[in-house]
Amino acid sequence: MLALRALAGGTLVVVFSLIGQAARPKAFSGLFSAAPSVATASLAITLIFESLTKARQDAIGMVIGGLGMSACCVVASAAIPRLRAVWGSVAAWVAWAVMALGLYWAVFVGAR
Amino acid sequence: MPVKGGPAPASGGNRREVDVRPELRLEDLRGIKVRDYVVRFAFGAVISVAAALLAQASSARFGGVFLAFPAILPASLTLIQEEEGTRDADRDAVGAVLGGLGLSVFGVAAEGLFGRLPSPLVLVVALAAWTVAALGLYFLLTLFRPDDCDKHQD
Repeated sequence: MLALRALAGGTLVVVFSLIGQAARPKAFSGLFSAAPSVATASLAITLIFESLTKARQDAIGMVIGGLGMSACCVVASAAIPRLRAVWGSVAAWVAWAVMALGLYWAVFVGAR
Repeated sequence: MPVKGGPAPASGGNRREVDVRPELRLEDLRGIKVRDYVVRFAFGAVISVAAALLAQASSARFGGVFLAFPAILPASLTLIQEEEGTRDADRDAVGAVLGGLGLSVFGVAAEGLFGRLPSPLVLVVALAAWTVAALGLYFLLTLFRPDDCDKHQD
């Protein structure tokens, strides 16, 4: 089932990337850089082969991950012009981790 | 939806029109490099598997956080910066902020509707919710920061 997840996730990422490649202007094209490609593929496989409860839990986690994605993009937007691509990308990933994992901890671990 | 006004007056003092209308240029797909898309496929495949393994190792909720991991964004921005310049990479990131907020809307819609609607329909509605949220936020961006969405400056 992992292979199926990989195939579905990779395929949807490519589909949304192609839409983004064809889209103009750039700010509109950027929407597709944060499209729910992996999420749609993974939730579909979970629903088919596992359970509705698990898919629902996945979706709850994804709300937090989405906020992390926005934080990541804000940092990427500020960091890439200043730090160039590689370090700007590293800063963006760190921002995702801090926001998403920090919120997860605050909501589901620390609050208990 | 052309928006009047722009950042720099054209010659003669006339302000030129800012063009923020979204469009799909299918001809732009002719020049794509297959290697770039193989890399994106690999990133998407790896994060899909990683999210599933994390869900098994901890909880589905924790694995779900990684369904919104920015797997391909830094790679995309790097490619855009190298090939089209820093401004285009920056504009792409601004759009991705809006798409990221849409991801949370997708999650809220899916979580709220699972069990109330047939599951395949929930995924369709959640995708529609992402689309509406992302397009709505883009529309707001065109109103408040039209220069960021100007095709002439891309």
